[in-house]
Amino acid sequence: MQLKQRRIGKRLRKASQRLLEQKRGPAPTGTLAIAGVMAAPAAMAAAQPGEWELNSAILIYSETDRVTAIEPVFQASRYFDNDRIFSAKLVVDALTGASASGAVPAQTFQTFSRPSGRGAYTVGPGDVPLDDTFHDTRVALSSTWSQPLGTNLSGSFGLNVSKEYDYLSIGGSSVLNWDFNKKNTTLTLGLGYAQDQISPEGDIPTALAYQSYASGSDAEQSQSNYAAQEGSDNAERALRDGSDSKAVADVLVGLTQVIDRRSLVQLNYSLSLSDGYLTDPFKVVSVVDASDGTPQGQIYEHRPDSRLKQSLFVRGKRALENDDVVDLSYRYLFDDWGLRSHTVDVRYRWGLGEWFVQPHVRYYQQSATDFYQAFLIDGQPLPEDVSADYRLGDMQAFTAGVEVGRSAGAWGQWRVALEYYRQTPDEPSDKPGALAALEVAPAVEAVMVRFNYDFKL
Amino acid sequence: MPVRAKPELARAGDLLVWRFEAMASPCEVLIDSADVNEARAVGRSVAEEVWRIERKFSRYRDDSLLAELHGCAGRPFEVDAETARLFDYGQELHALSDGAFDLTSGVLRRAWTFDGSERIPEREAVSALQALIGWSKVSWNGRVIELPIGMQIDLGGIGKEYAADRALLRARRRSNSPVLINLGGDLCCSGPRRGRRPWQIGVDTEGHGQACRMVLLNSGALATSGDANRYLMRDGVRYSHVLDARTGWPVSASAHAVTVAAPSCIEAGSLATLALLNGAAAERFLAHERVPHWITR
Amino acid sequence: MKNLFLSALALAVLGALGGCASLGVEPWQRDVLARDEMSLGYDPVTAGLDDHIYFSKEASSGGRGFGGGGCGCN
Repeated sequence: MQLKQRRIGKRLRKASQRLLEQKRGPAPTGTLAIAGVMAAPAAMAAAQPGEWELNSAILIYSETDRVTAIEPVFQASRYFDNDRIFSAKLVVDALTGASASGAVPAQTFQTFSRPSGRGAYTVGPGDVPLDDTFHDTRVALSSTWSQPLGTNLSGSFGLNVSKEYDYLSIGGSSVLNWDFNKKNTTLTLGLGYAQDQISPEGDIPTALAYQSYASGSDAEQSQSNYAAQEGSDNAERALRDGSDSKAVADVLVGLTQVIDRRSLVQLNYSLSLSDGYLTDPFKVVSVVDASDGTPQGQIYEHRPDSRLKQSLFVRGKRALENDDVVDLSYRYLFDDWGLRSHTVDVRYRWGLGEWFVQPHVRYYQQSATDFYQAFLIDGQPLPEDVSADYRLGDMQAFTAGVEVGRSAGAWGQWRVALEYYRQTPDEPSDKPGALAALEVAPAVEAVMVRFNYDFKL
Repeated sequence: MPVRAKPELARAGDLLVWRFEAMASPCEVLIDSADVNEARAVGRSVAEEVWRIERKFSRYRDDSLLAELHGCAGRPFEVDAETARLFDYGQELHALSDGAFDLTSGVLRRAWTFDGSERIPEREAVSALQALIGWSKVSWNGRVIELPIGMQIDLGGIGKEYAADRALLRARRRSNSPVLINLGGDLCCSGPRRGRRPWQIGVDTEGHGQACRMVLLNSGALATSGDANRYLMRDGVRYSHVLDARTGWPVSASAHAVTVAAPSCIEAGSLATLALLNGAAAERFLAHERVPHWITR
Repeated sequence: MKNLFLSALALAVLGALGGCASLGVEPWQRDVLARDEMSLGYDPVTAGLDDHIYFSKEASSGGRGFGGGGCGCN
């Protein structure tokens, strides 16, 4: 027999106060001051049921002379009873500046066409050509629902949409967590799928086709040379498709294990399969003369239309006797493009009462994909896939930074981080002629400033 | 009367724990203090209060107040202020549960033994007992009660939680140190621990008899009602130990275990009981009441 | 680096094999592990921002967990 459904809380509260001879309730605050915690180590420490948790952040990423990005993030999570959580996140990503197009510098001035086909830009001698046509703003919205699915089983389901003026991505993911051993061991299975569509301004370039290009001993000469042969790629442009697409499927299998009262370890295996248009439509590869190294032109790059990436990731977190926390992780990644990379990431959190200071160091090293070539030699047959994007080449990267934060009691928690990021791609060793004296892949340095503010309602 | 183990003081991490037995449950008083003498004094005063309430309202003792009341069945019986408050509270719960909760339903014990077996009582046996159940048959004016002959009052449903809250009041008068009282799973605390840290509590939210979830408590109370082995199984049908006083039979589709947090132990325990009485609608009921809760089916 | 990886792998595999009785803690011993900063999912907003930066500037991505959303930065 069901009891009549109506709110009896007030009557019960009054009755219990009379029973205990209390004039007013023992808890002066409106909500009950109890914090519920999910015992699985892999889960985020939950707020109280009925509460909102709000996380906001802004990141400013600025490379010397290149790209600058400003990225505000806002995430809101609503906690329900029985460990159910709904959360939604909004990310806005505003980019300005220029990034390397993949072409090599020369001893002369060079004029390149913009990928959109509208206009050209000129680059001085010795300067690495930087293409600035991608100031773009991206907006991404994602939402997730998590809930228990049974004894020791919980899951979350998410949807994501991301939009730039020339790019659209829609995807979904699902993560299952299975606890055993009194929740000391957790097995995680994640599946994700996304469908992306790219419609670049200027359409999808024909793979390995030549761009309009000219060079000259000074800027005016280079530009007039370019004007003379402008329109030479009109035929190729007319044949282009307006858009192309790709699909990405991700699988993650993970194991989290509590070692002792102060430490835990996580081990993940991930697999990612991308299929479709994986080329960057804005990147080119210079074709240089075999003897003197002067660029003769450039072709649009082309990458294989599928990529299978796998990675092994291990992470350990330990709270030391003095309540500091060490977080150390290592990732080994390899794919069928021939790429291999190692990533080591260390964070040390100094707890100082309400403040904390957390230095951070990250070291990254990758070895080039099979089809990466800093440039092509004129006269040699074109390979099926080639890219001069330095982000696919032999490279090391180093990040060092520090984060400082303070918990402000009822006002939440804020933190500020300052990081320095430096990429050092390897110079190719076989630069012919004049190219040998020029730096093709200079180091890229960036400074990142981040501010976070979290609070509960 | 079973012989009780001697109370003792022990250390648990940086807490002092006073353990004693009462109301057929292991009880403990946790004090966030390094002062052993203070811990003993607080622990003793808590145990004394719990034993006092147990003695006064026990249904097993001949010298309890309830035994005296049952001996006076059929005649008016004046009770003291504390007992009056408990009867008033039971009356309120009776109204809030539309009669499913009833202080007079204790006699059903004679028909139902929840030991995991298949022995369910005969319909006639339960119907016969139903004649002796019903708060409406009792005459209660706030000070004087008149119980019809054969009827009994059983405070088992609210006694332990009431004792926890009362004992906490005594402990708070005794000491300023943070205190947590745990009477066999019904617990309440005076506030957060030193340094504003919450109490960490291992709770048996799934009713397996083993702690499986950790809850952090800053203030207020927590009560768990679980059926563990207290059920009957016959012809594939599970009879839970939660009896609806209006019928004398178990509530259908009642949850396996319910844990509720509330400002006082009596409130938490009553909400957990009402949730179980709500059968399949337990989740809806507790969600409507907006209290932190965990339900296992 | 390889040693750390191998020993962590060994630890995790041991943990998976039906669970060593000695590895792990009782539910009431989770006081330290319950702290926000000990959670592996702590600060997902920063993790997402970092992932996005490194995904745009390097050829590797993921491994840590699942994030949401794709972008046109390859």
